[in-house]
Amino acid sequence: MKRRTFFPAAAGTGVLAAGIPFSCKLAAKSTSPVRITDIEGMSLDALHKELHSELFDIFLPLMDRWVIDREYGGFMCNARCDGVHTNMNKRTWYEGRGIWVYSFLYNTIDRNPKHLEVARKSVEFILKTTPPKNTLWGAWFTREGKQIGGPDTDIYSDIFVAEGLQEFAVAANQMWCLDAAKTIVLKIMDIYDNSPDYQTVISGTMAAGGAKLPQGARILGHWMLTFRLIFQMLQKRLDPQLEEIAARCQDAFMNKHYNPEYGLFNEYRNHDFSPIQDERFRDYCVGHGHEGLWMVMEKAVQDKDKKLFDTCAERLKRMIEVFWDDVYGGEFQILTNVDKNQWEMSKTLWLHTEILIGTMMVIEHTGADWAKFWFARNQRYIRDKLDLRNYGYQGWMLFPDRKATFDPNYDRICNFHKPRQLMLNLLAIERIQKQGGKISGIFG
Amino acid sequence: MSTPSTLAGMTLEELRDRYRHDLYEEYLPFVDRCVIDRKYGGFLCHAAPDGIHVNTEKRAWYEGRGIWIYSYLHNKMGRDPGHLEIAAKSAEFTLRLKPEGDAFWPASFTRVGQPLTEGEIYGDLFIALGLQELSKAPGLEKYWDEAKGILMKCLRMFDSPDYPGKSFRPELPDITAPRMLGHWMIMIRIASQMLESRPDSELESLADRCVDAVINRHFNPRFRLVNEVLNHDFSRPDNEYERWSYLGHALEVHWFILDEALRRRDKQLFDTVAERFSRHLQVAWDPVFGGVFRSLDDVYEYTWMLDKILLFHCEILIGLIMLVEHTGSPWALEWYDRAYHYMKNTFDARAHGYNPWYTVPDRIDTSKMKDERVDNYHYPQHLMLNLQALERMIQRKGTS
Repeated sequence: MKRRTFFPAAAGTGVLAAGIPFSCKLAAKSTSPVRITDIEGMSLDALHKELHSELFDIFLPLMDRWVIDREYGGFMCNARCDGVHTNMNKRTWYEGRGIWVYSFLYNTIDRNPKHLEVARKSVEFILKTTPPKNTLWGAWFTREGKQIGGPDTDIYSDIFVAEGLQEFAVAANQMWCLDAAKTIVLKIMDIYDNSPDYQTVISGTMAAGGAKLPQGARILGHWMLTFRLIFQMLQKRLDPQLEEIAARCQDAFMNKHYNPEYGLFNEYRNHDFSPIQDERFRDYCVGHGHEGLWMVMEKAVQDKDKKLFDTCAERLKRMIEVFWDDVYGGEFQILTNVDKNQWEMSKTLWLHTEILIGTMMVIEHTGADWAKFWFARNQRYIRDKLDLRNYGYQGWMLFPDRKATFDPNYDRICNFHKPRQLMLNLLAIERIQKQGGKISGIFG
Repeated sequence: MSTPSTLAGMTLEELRDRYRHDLYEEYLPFVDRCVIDRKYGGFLCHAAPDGIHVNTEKRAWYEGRGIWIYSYLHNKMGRDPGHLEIAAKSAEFTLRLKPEGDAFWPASFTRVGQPLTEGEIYGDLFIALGLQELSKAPGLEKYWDEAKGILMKCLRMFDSPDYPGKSFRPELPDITAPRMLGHWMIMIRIASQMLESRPDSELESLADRCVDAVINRHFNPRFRLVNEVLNHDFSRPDNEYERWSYLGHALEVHWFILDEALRRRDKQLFDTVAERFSRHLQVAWDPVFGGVFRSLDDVYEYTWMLDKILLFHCEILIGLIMLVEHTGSPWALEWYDRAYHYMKNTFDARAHGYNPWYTVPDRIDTSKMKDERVDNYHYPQHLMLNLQALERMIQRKGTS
């Protein structure tokens, strides 16, 4: 027998024979017109059950037990996995995000007045800390609401407060909150555009090295969050002024920060959107690209803009593939230098949850196999590596090291990305099920 | 599972014809014109893409490799006596420089055969590789013993506790008598091919050792990649070597062992190695610009050598076509397509008005590179082996 014809048994039995074997990073590219009944072997029913349980049996009880401040209102997120608080302080980010989570939960999934009450108490808490006109919100407060330090250095605190308020407006039928959110949007855009000393916080190794962005730098994360904030506001009330700002944000995100040379999004650009010369910032790419893409896809769905949706989906696939850590699994958070292929080594929960939102949107509207593959892979990664049930606790690791090493002393509980993913995924699954498993057909 | 009808966006026949053209119409005529030394025998590989020689030195590596290429062309691809003559003349030329005792061939020599620089193990191993293939030609069986003698000498020296091996990363610490993945790699390839023609218990034993070294010893379960360097006793160094995976060698040696698994008809070994080949390829692939990085210098810090090298792209195409041929795997089909087109778009110097392929472009822009070597091994080997694989698949018309 010739050696070259020896392996009849290899056909159909080997590890390579099964369609998408191993950990296929650049996996299947076809789209499937068939009904969506499962995602990589997990039925939609089972997936819904799992996500529902994570939301109602893990996340909400965790918040109830250790994070929600029933006395003063708000969220005390600086607690370890065993519930011990390292401090009782409150961060403006977490208040705005928490208000959004509980309001959205009440508006879309579970009309339990207890959820609305949690949001209401946080709104009351944070509005007492409203900063003077034309200044940024304070970053941190004591449990009772006394400001710690000065105003935040960038616009994110304000954005999250506005995001929470605009969702609470509908939940509590308090439409003045929508007005308050708009006031914040106009304020932050003015500061971002016109304040000569505006300087966002940079993180990671660059921050450690004392690097500073050029004055007036444009920041992908700013456009992304402002876009999503306004998109939600426009669902609630038409506003040409906000539409104009949203269009600016979308253009900046999709066109000005996108680098066609290598198909990734640059986090930082000069004020006029030209590339930054300092090589520490020039080719710096963050998972905000993944995150912002689903936000633009959401807009594309609303506008039935297939071309925009397809562009976003293609870029999302590219981002996910490039950022995947082939050695240890999971997505890296930051590609600090594209040309030198240098990465920040940490992993984050938030990026994986954003991918779950984005890929689920692609599944719902196209049924693409690649999106199912990456949804399942990221879902599995969170369950296998970031889920604290693996260590006898409830909750998730937020910013572990590259190998997702468990740190019992890590002291923050997530009150935003994970519940947002759970809720948006649950709603998407329910829509797919309502359609009998057919793709949405929104694009004809 | 059936053999695919298309590969790299072409029918198998179209792809086969392209390989034939690249081998017979372009590569071999170019080498004939610019590399083969008709006067003294051997190969003058130090030439730029336009064929102009930078110098006329010869190297043990290139002689051994050239002997293998032309012997294989003769033995398995047409029995052209002209090919055999080129191989035999190089063998005669090279063997005149054979060292006495346990010593290595000079690494380089003048065109007429005056030694220039001291050698190391790879030169000898490539000479053994070439001679064993030459021995399969009628009347040249004597070279089999010659090849085995060289191979066993290399093994003896490699096993010696004072073996002077060094890694090719001078910035790393000194290490005494290291175990090198690249050494097992060439030894398994030689042993595997020698055992094709006749049984030999010593070579069987050596092949077993090589497989064990790669599959069990160099494989690092902490990150599921192979280390290039181990201590002499096969323990893992407690320093930078433990974090280094030379992925180019890893990919190459894994297809060598796929081939050995075919020889042994060992499906379990084949499947294990196929999975590892895929693992290393996925890690090595540059997700931004495409192509494979050759070295993950530090697995934990995730630092890389950033250049792209023709040879490893040739090697992965050989491994991938083996998987396509023997498993029909969609994964392998997709990756073959990706790697083939990357190689064509990146390394093909014909786009710049030259005949051969670039061997070492940078990560992004090929055209700026100064290339001063004509590859007389990896690229033609890839053309030959993949051409044969395509012909087998076409002949079988749909069965793997």
